[in-house]
Amino acid sequence: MDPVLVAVLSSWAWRPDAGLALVLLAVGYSVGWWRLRRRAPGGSAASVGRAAAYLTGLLTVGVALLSPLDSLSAMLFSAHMVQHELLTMIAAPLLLLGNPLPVFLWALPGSLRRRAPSALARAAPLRGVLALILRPTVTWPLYMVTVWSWHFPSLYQTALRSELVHDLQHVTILTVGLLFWWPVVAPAPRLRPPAPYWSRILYVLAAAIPHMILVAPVALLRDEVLYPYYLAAPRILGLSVLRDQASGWVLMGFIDGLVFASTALVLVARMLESEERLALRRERVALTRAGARPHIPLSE
Amino acid sequence: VRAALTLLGVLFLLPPPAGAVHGGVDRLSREAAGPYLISAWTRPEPATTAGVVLSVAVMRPDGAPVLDAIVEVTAEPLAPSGTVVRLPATREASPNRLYYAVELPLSTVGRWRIRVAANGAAGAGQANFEMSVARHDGAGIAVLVASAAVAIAALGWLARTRWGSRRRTPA
Repeated sequence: MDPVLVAVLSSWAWRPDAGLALVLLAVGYSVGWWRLRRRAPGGSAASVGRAAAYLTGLLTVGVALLSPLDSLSAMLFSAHMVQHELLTMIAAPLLLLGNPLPVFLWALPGSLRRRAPSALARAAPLRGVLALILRPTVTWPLYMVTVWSWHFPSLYQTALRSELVHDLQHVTILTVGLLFWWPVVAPAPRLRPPAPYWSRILYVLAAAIPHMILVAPVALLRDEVLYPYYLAAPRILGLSVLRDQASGWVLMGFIDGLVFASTALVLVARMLESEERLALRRERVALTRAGARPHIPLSE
Repeated sequence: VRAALTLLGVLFLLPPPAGAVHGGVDRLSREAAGPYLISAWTRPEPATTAGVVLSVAVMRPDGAPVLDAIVEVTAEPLAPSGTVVRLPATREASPNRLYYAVELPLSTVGRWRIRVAANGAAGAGQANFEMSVARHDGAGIAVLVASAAVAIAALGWLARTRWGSRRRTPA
């Protein structure tokens, strides 16, 4: 095997802080999921799908931050973009699909579990703060501004030079990623009724458009190195700094486009499903009122 | 729960391992060194007497990494006091296995000249740079802990005030 490839594949970033935090979250979720599942075996709160989504989300964070991808991201802009995309576009929605709040509540000891929901009671300050920051009108611009700000050359290069700023970069983009996907996935706590599907579709598509508009011209820069930090790094995979830069932006646009488009399609399917359900219910009510015996099964 | 939160807090404060994956401040950028190009990065910034981690990339003229070189680092204080430090930088010491890394115990405050020498199949070469080393006084950690304590206290106070005012307000 190529020695450079062997060296890359053996470049694991052992970070006890990140690694143990991920293990702790996985154990906490698994304990809660197991207890909740024993309590309500058929319930959707502790379904296998939700557990798989959450644990895959954690695994994705691990791959992004601890695997050789992290080492590569110090040498290749494109690898760094893949790392950011894994955090914001893959890990964040998967973690929310796991519906973690009720599951983690069940991981707590009984007395604490009974007291914890009071933190989200109507007059509780935490509820007010959450209700404010989880509004789509807050999460959308917060995500856009945070993600794009980190790509300004001066800020981006500061992150590459300082481990602390680099950690802050990853923590903030994962956090705004979670906030961005919150109104789309609508996990607990549901502080207000979930947004209608059409508005979620618009929300996702509205995020795709500025990404495309901003990514395309930057990707086409052919003779300007935006991040000179990478000039010092060894060249691997036969990529020059400029080619790597263009590939990074193209990859970012491609992954964003793919995730946003597939999310919009899923939401359209869900919207059609729910409209069909609603139409069937209306039809059944109308038939019942007219005195006819409905031929529609009651548990469709 | 308290224990878990404490553990998370401790984990958050744990420093990353020596020879970080990300290079730190770039000191040499593809500096010609005989048949090689050498890049070098140091961390933390600012460099202090607590120790400096130096990461080195040895490359062929086309930028491809050289993985079988012997890299030796010599740190020499520019002030008359202080001791010359000479240590090998190895790939095993670096989490990024395309780099060579070494932790330099630079015990004297002031300017230092760092010489990186690479010796491999293509020949030998060396490159130098100078850097300043400041006194390590632990102020950074103290400021971090103090800021965290102030932030937690402020949040607690805010939550208490809001909670109290909401409870006093009749429904």
